[in-house]
Amino acid sequence: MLDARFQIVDICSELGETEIDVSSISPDFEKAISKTGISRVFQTARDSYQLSLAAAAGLLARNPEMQSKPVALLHVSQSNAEFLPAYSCRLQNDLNLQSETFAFDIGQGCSGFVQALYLASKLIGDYEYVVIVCCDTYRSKLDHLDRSTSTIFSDGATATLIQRGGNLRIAGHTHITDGSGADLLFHSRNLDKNAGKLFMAGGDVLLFTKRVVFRQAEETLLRADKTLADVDLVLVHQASKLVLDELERRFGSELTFPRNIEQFGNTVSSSIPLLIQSMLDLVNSSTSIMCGFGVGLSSSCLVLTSK
Amino acid sequence: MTEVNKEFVVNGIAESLEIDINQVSITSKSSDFEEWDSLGHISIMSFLDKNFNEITERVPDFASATSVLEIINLLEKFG
Repeated sequence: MLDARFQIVDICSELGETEIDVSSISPDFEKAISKTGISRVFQTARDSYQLSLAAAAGLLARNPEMQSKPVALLHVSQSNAEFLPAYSCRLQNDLNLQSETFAFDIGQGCSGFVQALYLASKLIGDYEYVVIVCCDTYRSKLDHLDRSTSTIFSDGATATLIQRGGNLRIAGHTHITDGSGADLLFHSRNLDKNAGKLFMAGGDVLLFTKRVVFRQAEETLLRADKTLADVDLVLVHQASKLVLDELERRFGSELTFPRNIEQFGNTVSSSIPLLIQSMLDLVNSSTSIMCGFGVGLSSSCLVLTSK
Repeated sequence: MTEVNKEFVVNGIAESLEIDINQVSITSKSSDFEEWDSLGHISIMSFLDKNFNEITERVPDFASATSVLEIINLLEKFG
């Protein structure tokens, strides 16, 4: 596999069809809004495959050239309703992509898009198009009266088209995994584990973020032979306002640090695609640092540059 | 052992949890308040970091502290 320049051509999204006012879920959720920055969340009655397909079909409608050549198709999710086959295989068929499609799933959450983009940069030498479909439906896993999760997570999917050519390249990357924190954010079908509901130890996950993400970003910049002064954009997983405030404080207020947490909530693997959806020209022509972190625990960081 | 302004910490915890200052004391525990859940704890950690030089990053025990006294003891030990 060869590293090649690429561009992020297009991103389509599909949010949960029901918009919920967070303060309407439970009276004591009102206080959470100032901490999370999230006053509304999106919930779907569809399963994660249907949501993925809707986003991917939207991408295909706008970019029919995806069907003209073999593509690499990566599906990122921790919300699959079925154990097998990989949803990327179903997507290949439902999107009428060529049979020579290289399709595989990535079972990661908040760091999943960043990991997939790294892999895309490796695959783009062999495939003119790489499609990354991210989808998570955490609202179907959580206890709706659990303030720590119910006030944060939204259901959503995104489909991202990456094409060989353009100016973008990955100048540096680091990936951190700390499986000792697996029980800090988990969901099990076993009813003995948090009654089968999604669990998040917010304090510990924040601590991981604080201890790892900024230092990792610094290390990634070092490996890219760049400094924070070279960075135009800081693109981080939209976890919650408190987490974003902590990271923005670390990166420094002089850097552009876009947020959309108020708009969409925490959409897990789709949060970074949703963040960059409306600024693709800027991302494709800038130097940015992109950080995804959370469940695993895991954290991945890329330095993307057009220079 | 560092001298810690206990009233400042108690008030900071109350503000972080968005509950009346008079409801929180040095003997309060996380189980005393619905607001002191995972989300509330994140808010307390942010307060501690802003006022005690990013202390929770250096001392992981803050992430699992379950009472005001435990937090004060950690601040006195590591602050």
